[in-house]
Amino acid sequence: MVGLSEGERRFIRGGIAQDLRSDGRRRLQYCPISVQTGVIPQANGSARVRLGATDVIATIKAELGKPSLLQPDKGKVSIHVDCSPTAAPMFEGRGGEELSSELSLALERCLLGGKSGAGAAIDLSSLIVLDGKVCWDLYIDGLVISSDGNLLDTLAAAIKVALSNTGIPKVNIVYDGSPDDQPEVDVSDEEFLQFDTSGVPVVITLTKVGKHYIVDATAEEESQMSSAVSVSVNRNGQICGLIKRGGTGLDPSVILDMISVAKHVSKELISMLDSEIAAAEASDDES
Amino acid sequence: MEYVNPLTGFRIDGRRPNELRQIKGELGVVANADGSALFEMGNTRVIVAVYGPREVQNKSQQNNNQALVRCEYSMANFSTGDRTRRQKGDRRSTEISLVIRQTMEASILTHLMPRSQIDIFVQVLQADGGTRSACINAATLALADAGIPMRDIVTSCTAGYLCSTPLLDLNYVEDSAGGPDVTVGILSKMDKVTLLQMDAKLPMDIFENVMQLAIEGCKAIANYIREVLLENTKQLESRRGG
Repeated sequence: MVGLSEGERRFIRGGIAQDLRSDGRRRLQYCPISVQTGVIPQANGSARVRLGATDVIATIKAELGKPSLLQPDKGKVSIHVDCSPTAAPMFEGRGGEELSSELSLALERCLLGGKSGAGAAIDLSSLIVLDGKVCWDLYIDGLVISSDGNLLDTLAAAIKVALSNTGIPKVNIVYDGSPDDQPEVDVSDEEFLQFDTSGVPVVITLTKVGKHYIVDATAEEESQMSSAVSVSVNRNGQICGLIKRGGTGLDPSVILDMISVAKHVSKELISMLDSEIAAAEASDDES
Repeated sequence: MEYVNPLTGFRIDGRRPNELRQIKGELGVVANADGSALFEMGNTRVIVAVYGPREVQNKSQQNNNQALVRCEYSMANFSTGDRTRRQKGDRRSTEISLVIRQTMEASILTHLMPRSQIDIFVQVLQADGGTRSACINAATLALADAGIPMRDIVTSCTAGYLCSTPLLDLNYVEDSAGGPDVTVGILSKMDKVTLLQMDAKLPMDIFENVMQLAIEGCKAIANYIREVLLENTKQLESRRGG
């Protein structure tokens, strides 16, 4: 991104203070969102979400594996984000690694719950096939194709849509021998179980510029931020994760205020995503 | 396995031996890039973003007479059938990056942009055979979208030889069959070959046929790319009010 002049910086900050941002949006208004499902047919579920100029693809791939010894009745999920160099020249080679790891860990925190697996947005027990022997390993991959700020929110939305598009094949256990043997499984080609995504949260990132917070910041606006708080909220208004970024300290009352603003905005985002998912599924059914 | 049905002459995906897969090209898919394009050949989908000409990042590489062309090829984790974590900088990626860079460099008028750098970033979304050809075709579109001056349109296509038949535009299954795989890249109007790669072995006369078939495929793709660019220019003109 080209550097900003002092005049441009003042324009951005002044606009935010007056509730009129550079692209005409209000402080708590999202860019137009565009959603496509099933973009990667080889994956079990996939989605492409465009929020303004930010464009990301999320895919879900399910493979059979062995559950961990500590949690034999749960499947495993791993999230990995990749920043493609097409999004910005600085992501070439290993330049995007730092941002990729930061995004992957933030998403894991919001979606996968604590170390014991408690509080995960995805019901891990639904991924088990045979206790202690066979379970589904879900690999969630995110790819950032074009970046104009607000990557975390867009990735979380893409993962939510991809999960709603995911079909896990039905597995029939063919032979279960002695406790030490790996049983043979028959993976069905026809029957699929749709994922229950009602518990999957969205992430709302509130960027603080001056005295005000904005939602869905562009890269320019993010360069002017003093700090940002990303709140993960689910359908019931419960907080599923919280990340604060940026060096400037925030008063605790400000953080509580940001959380309540995030909860308020999340209702709008969740309903927007739901209607987009329904529209995408309807067009899938027609075709 | 029967790659070409002896009775009907159809291949496993229903094509005839000299038929290309369905191709689709789209310009301007990455908003931030100076030029970008999406190119599909059957199930192979590739996005290329071009950044440049811009200031050289590594001054020691700066060339005072011409532009520096750099290319990076990366495959998404979900691009192939099994999901694999790809290491950046593995040998195949490095080789393909080099191949694309050399092919595009032959066409870009680098002497017009001395002391600058042109970055070509290739991202493979879905790989189903013919990836390097799709990348070169997409790179041509992206460079045109970026307004970078080129000698000619560079296109690329693959051809192989299975069941005693030359086959155009191999998909992944046909490519893995173990037969020869010839990749050709040409400068379409000037009728010059800029890229030629082959693996496995072929008798000379059959090789000539297979290479000729691949060149025909390249020319067909060049016609399609020309249409896409013409359509794009008409849209730009209408937006300008011309």
